[in-house]
Amino acid sequence: MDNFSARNNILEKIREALKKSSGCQLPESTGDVFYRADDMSLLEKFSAEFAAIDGKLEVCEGKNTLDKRLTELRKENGWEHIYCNTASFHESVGFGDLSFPWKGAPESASAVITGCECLVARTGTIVLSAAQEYGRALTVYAPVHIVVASVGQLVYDIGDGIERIIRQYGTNLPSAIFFASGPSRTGDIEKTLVRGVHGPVEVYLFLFADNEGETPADQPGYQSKFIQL
Amino acid sequence: MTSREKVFQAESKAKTADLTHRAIINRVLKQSDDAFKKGKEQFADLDRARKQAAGIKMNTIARLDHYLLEFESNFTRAGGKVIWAGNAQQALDAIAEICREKRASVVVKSKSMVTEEIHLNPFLEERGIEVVETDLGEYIQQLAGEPPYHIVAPSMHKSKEEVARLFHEKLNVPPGLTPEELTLAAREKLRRKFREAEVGITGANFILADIGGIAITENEGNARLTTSFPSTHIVVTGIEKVLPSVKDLDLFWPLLATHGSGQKIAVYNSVFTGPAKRGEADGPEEMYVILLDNGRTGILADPVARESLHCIRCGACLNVCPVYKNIGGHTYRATYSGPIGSVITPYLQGMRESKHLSYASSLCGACTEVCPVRINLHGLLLHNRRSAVRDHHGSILEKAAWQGWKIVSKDRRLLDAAGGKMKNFVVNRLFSAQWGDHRKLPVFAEKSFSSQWKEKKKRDSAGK
Repeated sequence: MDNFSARNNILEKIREALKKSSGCQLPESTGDVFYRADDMSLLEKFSAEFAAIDGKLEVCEGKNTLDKRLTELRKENGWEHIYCNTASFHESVGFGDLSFPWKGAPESASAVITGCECLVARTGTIVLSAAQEYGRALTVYAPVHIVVASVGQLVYDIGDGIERIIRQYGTNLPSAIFFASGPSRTGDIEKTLVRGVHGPVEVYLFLFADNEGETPADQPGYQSKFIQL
Repeated sequence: MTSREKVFQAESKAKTADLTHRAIINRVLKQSDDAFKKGKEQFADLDRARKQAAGIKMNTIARLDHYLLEFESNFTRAGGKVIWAGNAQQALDAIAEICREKRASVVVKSKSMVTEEIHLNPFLEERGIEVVETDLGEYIQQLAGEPPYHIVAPSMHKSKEEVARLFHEKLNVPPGLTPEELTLAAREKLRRKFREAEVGITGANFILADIGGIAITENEGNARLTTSFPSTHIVVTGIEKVLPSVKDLDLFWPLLATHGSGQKIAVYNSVFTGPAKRGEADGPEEMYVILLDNGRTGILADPVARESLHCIRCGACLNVCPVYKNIGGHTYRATYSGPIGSVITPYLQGMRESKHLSYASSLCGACTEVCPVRINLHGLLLHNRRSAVRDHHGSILEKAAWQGWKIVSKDRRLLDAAGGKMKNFVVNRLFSAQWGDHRKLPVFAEKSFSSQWKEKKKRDSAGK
């Protein structure tokens, strides 16, 4: 059967079936918030939730902190090849010694550095999209994913993240949008939690203040008790 | 009794007495239950969230044609292709055609129950195509040559020792590996497959009408890799998975995660709106969505059963079901096991062949209580039983027995004509087979209540 007749057949069957009402009253949409609220700030909430799903947050006061921490982490973990194809990071973050002119996802990447669309505080989620330079594979193929973002990219909930993407791209949405919450994991063998089954084993977030010279602590909502460098 | 029912009863009996199976399932489901309790805490009022979700699904299903067309129009505009399949064969033919066109020799798959439903893997293998399941649980099942045991946790019945043995035999890895080492072994094997494959096939958790999108939820990252490397992405999905808007995910993603695995939100929730756009770094050149009916419009045509199309396949009803816990996932011999499976399988495979599943329930209602979209599951099991009897799928003997029961019980003289011994004898003959060996038939008193009452009145008035 060709697609056209199959389509008409199915639609016809649906319309015929729906002639009989289920008799159930259609409920009104309430549009409520269903999630438990607390009095944490966006940054506090994100920090707590990101830590709870094994994400590693590094709050940066400037380029120097980032450079320093990255060098330390690189040494500690023996990351041989760190990749970053986000052109704007060359200058703004200053990864002078990293290998940049690179596309795709080679086996050899020990860690990749990318930006992100936004951050969802309530679930500790990093929102990524295929419209960015890193594309689809890079952020899930490498064993370590390092995200560089700023405090201004924090939103409260999943719905806010979706709205932000829609506001930004309108009807020309990226071909893929990813809500990534922590390292890849599985519980398929006796429910034993194992990290890094197909995606990254570690996810780092380097979080900057929005403007040069400020620290995240200057941002509204920042409370120092959650962030320790 | 159909032969399927006989097999079902025999296998149920055997599985229920299998103590090793019981120990594993009890341990795993206890962990699920603990995680679920924790995951639920994110909701201020879970019942209200469930009501809202049920309402959205009800509204959507009530205008299913409208939303499917809206999806088709938006998805097509973004360069995607929609294929409509009335039954399994049409879906299989469409996939075979695409694979032929792309000269596919390796296909990677992420977890999808709909492709189980249409038996995609053997179909492609017969055509010389290597099909690789990439979800760890599905990979284990594929290596073992077994269908998934649970719609969310496909290999949950296997001990880690069993998986280690399996990997040792099939993948040539050292014996006695730990879950961590086994996972790493699978990671290494599958990485190559993602890059080799010409076609990636996934299911869909939700079809998003307003943006023409497909939402896929997973924890491992295999669905993301399946949709990144191969140059063609095929989605196979039931027509009922629609949500009106991408914004509905704000509610449905956490509901699915909490009920499926006790998480606040799954690790990867992805939305795909089409093949890679110009200027994007990577991604498939083509994306197809196959919208599968395969019996679903039959469910839709039954106004009572219709609500079973609200299901988001979280698996929570399986986890709480005392029948599932005892007989296990394979005994159902159906793609969808547990309460939701017993409800919909008769519509997918035929009432006559599958009605026995609706009788395999204590009607305790735990499934209905836990369902995130409030499907009246145990009510629908009763509905199936009623439909089966109405359509004469029951045994003739049972029907005759009930007719006899009706005649006698409606007639006082007939009812009082025989004494208790006689009644017990007759009822025992008529019903003991259906009633089963494991419970006692009710026992009739020597004299009926009516006769006893009359005698008492007589005695009382004589005593005055």
